Amino acid sequence: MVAEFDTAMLDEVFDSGPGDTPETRAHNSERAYVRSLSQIAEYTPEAKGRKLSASEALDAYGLSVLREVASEGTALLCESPRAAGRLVERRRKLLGLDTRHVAKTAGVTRESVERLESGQRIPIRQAERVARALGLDERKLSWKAEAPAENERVAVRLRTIGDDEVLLTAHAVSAIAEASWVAATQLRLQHKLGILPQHHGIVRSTDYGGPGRPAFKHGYSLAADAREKLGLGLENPLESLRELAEVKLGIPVIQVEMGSDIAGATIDIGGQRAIILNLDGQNRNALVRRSTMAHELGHLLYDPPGNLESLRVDEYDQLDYQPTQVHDPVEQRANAFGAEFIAPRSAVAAHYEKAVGGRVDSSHALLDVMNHFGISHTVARYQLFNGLGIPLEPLPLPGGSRPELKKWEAVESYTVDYHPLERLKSSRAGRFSAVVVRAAQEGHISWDSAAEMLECEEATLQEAMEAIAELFPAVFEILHQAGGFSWATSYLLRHGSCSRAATSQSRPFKRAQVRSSTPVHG
Amino acid sequence: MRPPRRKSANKDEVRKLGKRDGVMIIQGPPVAANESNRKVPKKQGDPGCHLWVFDSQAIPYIFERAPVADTLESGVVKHTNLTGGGDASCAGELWVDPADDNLIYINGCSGRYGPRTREQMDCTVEVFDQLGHKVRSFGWDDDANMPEKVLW
Repeated sequence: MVAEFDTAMLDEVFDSGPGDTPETRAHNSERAYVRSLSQIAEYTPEAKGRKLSASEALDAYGLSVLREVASEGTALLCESPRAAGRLVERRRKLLGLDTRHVAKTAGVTRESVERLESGQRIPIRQAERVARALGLDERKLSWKAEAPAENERVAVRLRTIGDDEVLLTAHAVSAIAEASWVAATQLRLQHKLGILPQHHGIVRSTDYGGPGRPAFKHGYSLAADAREKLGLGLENPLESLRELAEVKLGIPVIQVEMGSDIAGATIDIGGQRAIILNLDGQNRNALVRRSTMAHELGHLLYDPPGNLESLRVDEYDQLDYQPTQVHDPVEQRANAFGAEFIAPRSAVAAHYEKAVGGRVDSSHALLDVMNHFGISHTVARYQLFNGLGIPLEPLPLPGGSRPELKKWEAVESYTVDYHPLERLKSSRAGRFSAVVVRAAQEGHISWDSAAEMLECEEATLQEAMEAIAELFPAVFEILHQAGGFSWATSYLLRHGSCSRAATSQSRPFKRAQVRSSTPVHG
Repeated sequence: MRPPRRKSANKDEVRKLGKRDGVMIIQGPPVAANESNRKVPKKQGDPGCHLWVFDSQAIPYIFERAPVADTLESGVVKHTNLTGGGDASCAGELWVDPADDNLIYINGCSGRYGPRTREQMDCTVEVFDQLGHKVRSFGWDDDANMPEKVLW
């Protein structure tokens, strides 16, 4: 049953306008709000806090709070002076981080973190940065309603993983926590924009093999299943795994720097999933990163919640093994899936034999396989062994030869290396940035919130807006297909089709801190 | 002096309450608050809350949960009940410390007559101070550009 709302009440809260629900009224409303650590009020230019659009405020705090603002000019958001501090302290301790580390990640002083934790008032903008660094929803910090579970489970799991399974440095924990905020925010905004995860008929599988049917064999079948359902063909190389995940599947891919041990992770936030990819260590090589990504897709697409446990962290060591050498069936299946998805054994075998048949020596044929499928030396050797029984050891690359990394680096790293906002963290330099811009254009969030999420000034973001739209046309084309809103429509009419091939040649934006791209043979 | 900033939701909100209803006048210390109504607040509206206004004559105030509240249409006392819907220069909430008759906690939380700037809030504190009270103010919230709602 659809609830009916009093028009006079909606007028009072959002002013008169089209729509008969709070959501549509808010979306069309020009009203703006401002929040501090303790309250939300009608926006005034003198206010220094977080400016919120009507939609954003409604989404975060609900209609009853906005009614109170309409009636009293302001509404309390804070349960007690200690509420925000307790939440922050509890999460920080859960993650095993000290205040110095949190302060550094958040870009605030240690004193600010300690003041917040001890129940003292600090500017909301600083408090929000601390919340994001800990993977907390900054909108709900100190809010009187019960704090939502959201990615709480990810934090709990991070702690247990660190205690029992994987040696996680404080830097890695911190990076994963912040990435979980990026993922949760991207998923929330995508939902607002109607960019929903696409399952393409893929069904999670509890089959991790058994006697006589090891998990890796099932991983091979699942890879074929995924290729078929995603319409990728059974032999074709996969051009960009990042784009496949983000555009075709609607899955956030968050690229972060988290040291030399962790390859990647898959997280589940309230039933929605995202991939975290490490840019450090072996993943500096785009070919290795593609393998990591394929492995994480195996977890993300097929592991049921009980096996994913909110968070799966994969170390490089685990991924370097042949599927048959991995004991954990969940990892064994994902390893096999990853290799087979990115480079099916039959296709690798056919390509290799064709190259050898064309009188190329085996070393050059191996290099050709790597370049064709965009796979590392390790994956190529494993797939040749699994497909043709070619022994693993005597397959070196030709002397002095290296795989073609440039193409794969460009499609997989993309705006992590090149972004119009030069100082943007890599975790936010992906599709997240485009989703944030479009959400601001559509009024789902204020430009103030968008600029804060993208760590820049509003004016800088406005200047970079069109360039970001060009880099991520799919985020804006969805709008066009929906027959939707004015800005994107006029943008597309002015610029025509924004194919990435065209835009990638004219990217003038070089990030201030470009990562090392030292080739590593995986 | 200025009229209420927002219109009233019902006639009872502008019904002027008097001494019989529990309205008292702040003239000097100590504030005559009932023993059981004395609390240290943490935030706007906490138990023990009294409403006060600066009208043209005095500083009337009333316990927010005075029995008369039950007879009003909205079930709560509003600042306009102290002015009858007329003008006032400032308004807010106050609490009396349970252990110190002379210590009061005040804020500027009033949708109708609350201070609009930090300076107005500071002046308000000074008025109470000059009347001889020890004042602990909630202060001003620069982020919201509003009187602070929490006693940090």
